[in-house]
Amino acid sequence: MPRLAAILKLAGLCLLMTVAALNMARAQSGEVVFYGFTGDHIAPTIRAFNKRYPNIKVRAITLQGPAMIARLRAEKDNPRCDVVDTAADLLLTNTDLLTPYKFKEAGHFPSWAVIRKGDDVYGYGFSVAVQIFLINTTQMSLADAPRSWKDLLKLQYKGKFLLGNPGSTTAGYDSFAQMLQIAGPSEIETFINNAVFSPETNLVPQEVGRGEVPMGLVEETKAFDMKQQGYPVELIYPSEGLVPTVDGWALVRNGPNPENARLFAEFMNSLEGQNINVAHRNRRVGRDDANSPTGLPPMSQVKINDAVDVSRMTTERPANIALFNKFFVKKTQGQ
Amino acid sequence: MAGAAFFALFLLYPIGKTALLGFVKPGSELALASLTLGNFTAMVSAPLYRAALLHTLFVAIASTVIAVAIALPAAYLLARRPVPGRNLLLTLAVVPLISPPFIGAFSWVILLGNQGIITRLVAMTTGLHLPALYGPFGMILALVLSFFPYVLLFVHAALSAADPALEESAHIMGASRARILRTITFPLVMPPAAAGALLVFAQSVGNFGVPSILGREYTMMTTLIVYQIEGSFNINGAAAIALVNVLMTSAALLLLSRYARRNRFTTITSMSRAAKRQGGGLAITLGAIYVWGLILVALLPQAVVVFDSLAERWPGTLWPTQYGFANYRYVLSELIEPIIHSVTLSAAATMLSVVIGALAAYAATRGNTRLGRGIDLMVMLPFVMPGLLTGVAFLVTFNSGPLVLSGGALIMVLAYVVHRLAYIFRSVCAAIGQVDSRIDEASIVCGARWLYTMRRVTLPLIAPGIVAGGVLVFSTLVMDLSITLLLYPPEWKTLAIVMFEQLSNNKIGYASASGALAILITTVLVFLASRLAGRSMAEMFR
Repeated sequence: MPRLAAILKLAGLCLLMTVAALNMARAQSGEVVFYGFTGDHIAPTIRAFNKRYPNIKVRAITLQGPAMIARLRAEKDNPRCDVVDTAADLLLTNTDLLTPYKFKEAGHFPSWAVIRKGDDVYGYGFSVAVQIFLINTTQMSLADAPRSWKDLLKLQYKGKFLLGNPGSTTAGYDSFAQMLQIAGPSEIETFINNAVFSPETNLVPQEVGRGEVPMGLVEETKAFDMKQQGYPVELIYPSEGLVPTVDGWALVRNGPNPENARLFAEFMNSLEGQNINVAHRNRRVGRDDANSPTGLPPMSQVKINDAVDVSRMTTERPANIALFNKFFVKKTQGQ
Repeated sequence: MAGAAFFALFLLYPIGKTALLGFVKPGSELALASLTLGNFTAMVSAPLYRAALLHTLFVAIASTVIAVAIALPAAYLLARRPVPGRNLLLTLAVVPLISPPFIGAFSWVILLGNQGIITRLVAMTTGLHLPALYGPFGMILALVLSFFPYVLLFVHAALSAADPALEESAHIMGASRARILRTITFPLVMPPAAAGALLVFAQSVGNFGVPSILGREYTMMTTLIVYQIEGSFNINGAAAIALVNVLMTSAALLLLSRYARRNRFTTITSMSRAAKRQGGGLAITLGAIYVWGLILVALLPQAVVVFDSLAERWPGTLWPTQYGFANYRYVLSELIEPIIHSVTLSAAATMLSVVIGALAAYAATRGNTRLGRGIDLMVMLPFVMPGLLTGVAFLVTFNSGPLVLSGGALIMVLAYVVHRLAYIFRSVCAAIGQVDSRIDEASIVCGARWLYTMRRVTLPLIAPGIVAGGVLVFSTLVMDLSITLLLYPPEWKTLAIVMFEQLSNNKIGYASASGALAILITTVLVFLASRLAGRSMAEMFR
């Protein structure tokens, strides 16, 4: 026991000294810190950025959108992050954390891809997300599958489709908010009663792929990825059209490295930065001169649902969530 | 003094400050003018909150009762009967506690989901349809099988250390085995069983991973806390919900304290000896089958993680269509640094937890009763709070002001310590409770100072409790996600973060391979720690 005690004391001391020493590696000049979505684009992005700016060290923290905002808000008095890439509606409901900026090549972004509040622009579309239907063909035949958002109001689809809870997931909120504008407040209760909501959105595509549910409301790229992996699934594009929502790179107010932050955001908005996103994540991007993802119909060939106002999805978010909670509770109270 | 300073600065201050935000209007600073009970009245008036409260109570109580019911006989058999492979079983009993976040719960979907392997096999062979996994049934199943080892290990440690003289005397006097069990053995093990049960209850109340995958629309309090933080960064609302969780655990703690005070038995004296494991025949065979069966069923999620890691293609079919090591080849190239980070941070936090937790437990059990209750509550408060809220508390408190720790790794270590202190605390409290205080007193009467008595007399007697608690802290920290997400700086990406990224990118195979490696590494390190301590894994829990 004395030998063990001595070994443990020494090991403990070494460990604490290591952690304390490394804790002293604070923000240095010549670096930029970003919070962004995870993906295969991170490493090639950093390499490409460093080819242009070899003296700026890039430090990345990958999170989901709501967790990024939670972290930014908690760090508000002493920001640790310079640039953040997250969903437009999260950026626009937290503009007090951000600094607006104008990108010199803004002309390459269609108006729906510019993250704007009044005259202030907070970012430009980096990834474009569209919510579609993913069907497991062993659980539901294509002939029986819904073809439109309004079809989801039919009784035959009650309990048959899964999506993330709008209160805590970006994808779930996007689907819900679109449906609210398409079906209207009078029908949204039916939609909520028919749907199955999951607190965790990441595994919704897997659950559909494995046949846990016949169908899911899923972001297009993830749906396509499931098909590529060989799952018995098919993608259905709703007949009303798609509602593209974007995420973009925003500058954090009072970030530790504002100049480098600007350079990084501009790189990510550039053709080179956006094409890395296409090549490594197979994502649609905001720039009209960027490459198209493989296997997905180009935006020019896709029907856009102009009846849905994306800016309303942002401005009406608190009211929409309250409406969802009201009917969700009514539905689940029977449990 | 150092322990008190640690408590004040890193436990009371951030956690207490965040908890007080539950009494403040949303978006307001902590000030008298902003005080309100509005965040709490929502619990009573809002149906969603009422439902979540009832769901949480139901799931937590059911999980606790079932966990105790299945763990007690197993602990008795392992401690007092010659169950074959006892050492191996005690080693394996730690593994269910090492469950990779999300993917561990998703393993139950792979097994018992609507299209799960077992579900489909049962339907194919018998035509029977198993009950739906999603909802309270699935959550209770996952929580029971993940957390019953707390009860098993604590009770086993107590039974192994207890002097069998009482039971042997009763046997000599003619008492039947059933009577001995009922009147001597059972009361002896109730304090450590209750300590283990409290951990099961607190974990069930504070767990988010299981409800997020298996709960679906059966909302729990932790689901609401995450909605409050991630949906609207309403810390005030989240803190109020967390305080209600703490209230529930405090009620359980109060019951435990009252029970322990009435039923405290000293079983370790200066003349204690280990009980012999005796018996044979059909009863032992059935007992061995029960214990082996229980442990193997509890290991099913980990087995599924390993199995899935070897599946290169598993596109929704009953079995994978292609096996191989491609997942491992990929993750091994990515995982070296995260593994080193996870082990370093977990080890540092474990050592600090052991020192602070053991001192706190000693002060709580041997000191003033009111002080003891206060320390108990302070230690349990962060344990019951979801890791996400603890992470927020630390980030908000130590991001600016006189002490800035954010941006480095030290804040992670401190948050880990505060969140997991309860393991060491409960385990050591149970161990100290068994030691006759007269042993300490005899040492002091003979002239030894407190520190000498603590080092040479008390510590060796409670060492099993300390080691057991330390093992639990380390093994659960390696894959912590919820605190880490909020606090990790770029240079300290951990294994859990990598797994989370893989899940987010729809790479289940990679996530399973990472999870399998994490389980292996943790088990090996715990085994090495036991060797270094000069004990086998089984003896660490005696």
